[in-house]
Amino acid sequence: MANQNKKQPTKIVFAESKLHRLSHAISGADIGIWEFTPCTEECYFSPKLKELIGLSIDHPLTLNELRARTSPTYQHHFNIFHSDNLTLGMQCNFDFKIKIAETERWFELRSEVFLNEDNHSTITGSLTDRTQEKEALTALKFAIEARDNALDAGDIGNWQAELNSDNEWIWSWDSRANKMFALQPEDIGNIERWAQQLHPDDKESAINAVQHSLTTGELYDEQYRSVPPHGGVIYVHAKAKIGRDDQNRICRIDGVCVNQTPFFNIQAELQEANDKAEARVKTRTLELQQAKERAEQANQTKSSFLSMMSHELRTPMNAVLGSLDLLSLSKQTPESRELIETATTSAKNLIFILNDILDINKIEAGKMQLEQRDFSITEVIDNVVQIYYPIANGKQIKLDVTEDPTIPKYLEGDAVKVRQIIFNLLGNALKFTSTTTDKLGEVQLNINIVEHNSIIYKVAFSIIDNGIGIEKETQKKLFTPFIQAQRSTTREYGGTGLGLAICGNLAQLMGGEIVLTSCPNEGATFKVELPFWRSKQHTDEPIYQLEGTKIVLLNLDETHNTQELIRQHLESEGALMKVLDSESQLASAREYDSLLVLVGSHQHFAQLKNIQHKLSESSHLIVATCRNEISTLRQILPHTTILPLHPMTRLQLINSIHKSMDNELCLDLDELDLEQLSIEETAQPISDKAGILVVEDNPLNQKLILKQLSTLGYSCDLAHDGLDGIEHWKNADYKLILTDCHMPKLDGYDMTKKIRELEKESGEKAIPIVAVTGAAMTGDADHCLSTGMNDFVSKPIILKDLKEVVERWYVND
Amino acid sequence: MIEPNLKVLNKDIMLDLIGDDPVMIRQFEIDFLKQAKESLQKIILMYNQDSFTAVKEEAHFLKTSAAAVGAEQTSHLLKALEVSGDVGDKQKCKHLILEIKSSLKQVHGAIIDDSSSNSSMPSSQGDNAL
Repeated sequence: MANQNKKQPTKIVFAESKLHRLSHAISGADIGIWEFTPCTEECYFSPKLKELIGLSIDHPLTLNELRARTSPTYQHHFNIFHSDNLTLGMQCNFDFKIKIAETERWFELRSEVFLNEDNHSTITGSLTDRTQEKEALTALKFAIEARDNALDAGDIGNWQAELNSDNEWIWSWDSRANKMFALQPEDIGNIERWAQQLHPDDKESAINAVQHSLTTGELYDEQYRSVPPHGGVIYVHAKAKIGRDDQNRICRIDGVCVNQTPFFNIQAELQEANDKAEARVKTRTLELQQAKERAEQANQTKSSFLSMMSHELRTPMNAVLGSLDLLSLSKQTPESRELIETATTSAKNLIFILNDILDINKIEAGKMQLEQRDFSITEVIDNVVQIYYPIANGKQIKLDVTEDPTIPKYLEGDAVKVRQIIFNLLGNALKFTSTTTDKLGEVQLNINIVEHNSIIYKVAFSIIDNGIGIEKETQKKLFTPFIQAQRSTTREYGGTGLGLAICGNLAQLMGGEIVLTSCPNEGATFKVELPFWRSKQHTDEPIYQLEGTKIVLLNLDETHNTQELIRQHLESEGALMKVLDSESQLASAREYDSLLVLVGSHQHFAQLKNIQHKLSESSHLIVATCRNEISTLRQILPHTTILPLHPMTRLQLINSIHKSMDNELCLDLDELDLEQLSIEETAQPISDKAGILVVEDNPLNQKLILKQLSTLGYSCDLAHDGLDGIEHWKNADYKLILTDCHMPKLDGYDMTKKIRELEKESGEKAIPIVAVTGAAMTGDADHCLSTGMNDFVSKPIILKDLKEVVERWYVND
Repeated sequence: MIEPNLKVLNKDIMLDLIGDDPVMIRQFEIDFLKQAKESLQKIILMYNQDSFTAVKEEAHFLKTSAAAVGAEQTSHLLKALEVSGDVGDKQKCKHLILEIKSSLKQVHGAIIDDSSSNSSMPSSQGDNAL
């Protein structure tokens, strides 16, 4: 008993100690302990529990307070502890939230009903913090929901397989995948059912690909078709990734499958639509190509026909023109002459039309080629003006030309085409302009530089008239072939309507354009702007044609504008100009090379005689006057250079200055009147058998030497040059040749060489050849001897010397 | 340009060449003037065409005739023209052509005077003509 009594406290101590260790273990596991006796309302809460819910250990906590601290949503769970239905062994477990330091935390409460030592029903249990698990669970739930939403939205199925302990693959897939393959719910995980529905063409490759991934661990990425029981074809794109266990062995595969049937259907529809469209385009293209070829063929046939006809017609028309020309030379009655002139004009017009047709065909066929050569715009302008002035004059139209003095002498371009455009437009202007009692018809041709740089000059040719003009509507179609302004125009003025079309096309071909401005009854302005390259070939030529030439200008009654234009042109060519105010200043013009007098009216012509007398011999007189006054002026000053005005071209102006300075001698040679010196010629007797051959081209020298030889008693033959000399030598047996050295065809030196060669070939004895030459330079004698000549005498050879040289070389047999 | 001792028309030259045959000498002189006129026209034409080689050759051609008839100044000028034509000196050519024309006018005058007096002119007749 004592022992028992001794042992009793030891047991208690041991039990207390064990309880104490248990309490520590529970506390160490973060588990709070609590107890509640409903009938006494007694309760116990361990310090750990208080710590877990954020209270200090000495806080006098009750179950009601714990309930009160619980989030209201979960407070009702505590009602069970006051219930009458509590039975022994009953477990009451629930989760709830408590806000601790503004943060809600999850707790799990577990409890069981038992009878305490007082035989009262008591509830005891634990409280653990489950916040982390709850949050993880919530996050997992969200993740699963999000994944499911995404997979639903994308109609993506999910599938996987796991290797079980028997090393068998256990397959499963979600309902989306099941639905995708049109399988029954019970088919989920039945891989055989999935394989049965695969398209026969894709079955092997799809299954092999899965096997390959399961064996190698490589990604699974396969597209295949499935044939569901209700028919049709499903296009599936499946992808999966291999998973490994902690020993790196392949243990699972997780993948997705996407139904791409709608995409494939759309693609197929698109392909079909595309195929149809392509087929339509092909058909249409073929039709268009055939239509284009037919049109081109027709156009080609038309062009060929027009070209051939134009060409064929032009040849006989030229013959007609030639015949008419010959006919006009013979004596004709005035009536016949008029008929011939009409026929000639008509034939010429026909040829112009044929040329136009040929040109427009060439342009339309793209065969019109441009030349790029240096040409002179001033020459083109002069040429056109020379042709059209008589026509303008005949129609009493005032034709004027203004050229920009700064236009270079040469530009690179197609002169023929430029001329054709200006010729056509100026012709049109004169055609549609006339002089009436109320209005003087005027046509103006202006040429000026629009812009230029180191490479290109852009030149504008403006043809301005005050003729009938063109209405706005008809202006647009004027540059179309065979279109004229109006039918009435064709009736009144004739023409084919090709001219402007050709001009427009040519201008375009040259990179330029034609701009038309016109009002009916007020005339028209055609402005042609054409670009030209700077000349590259004439860079070494002098820039100025009259450089250093001193010209004095006296304006008797011409306009100031004309005077200034002439002055600018001459100065731009490098001339040194002086303008006199009156005739009284002429004395100061003596040092000048030329005097240019501007005189518009014949009333001042009488003055010109005085002016001519006052000029020094070395100065040249040029008179500029209106074209219709030229014949009158010519009677007064027959030998003076005349510059025609209105119109005056730059080329005429420059040429007049040159002509006046260069050609003066030509006129004065008439002063050498030889009529009064005529004398009866005495014939020179030529002997039958000549011993000397004289080779000489100058008739006077021939005559002289013949006379001299005759005086000396020698007979001779005459040859006019080296070739003639060789022929004579071959045909006769001369004893001596006297030859000039410088002669046309073959000179004396080469004749001698040839004769020496021939003598050598035939083995003949060398004939003495003596040079009689006007050249008496040092070395000439040596040169004569080097060519095979025997002697050398200078012209004129006096009789005594001739006798000596002939006697020296003339060998009698 | 003109050598002072050269004569417009040196009658002694023809005497040396063909002897004292006045009719023949006169014929040569007239022949020369005809030839000179034609030749000078050619020279002017060639000059206007800038054919200076042709100017040179024609000057050479006429030069021997001028020398033969004793037109010493003309011959001298033609020789100078031959040189200027050879180097293509247009200004000099022009000047010489003018002088040749002038000298020919004097030769012409000398021959006319000679025919009107019907006697040989003293050899110094044209010395100061230019």
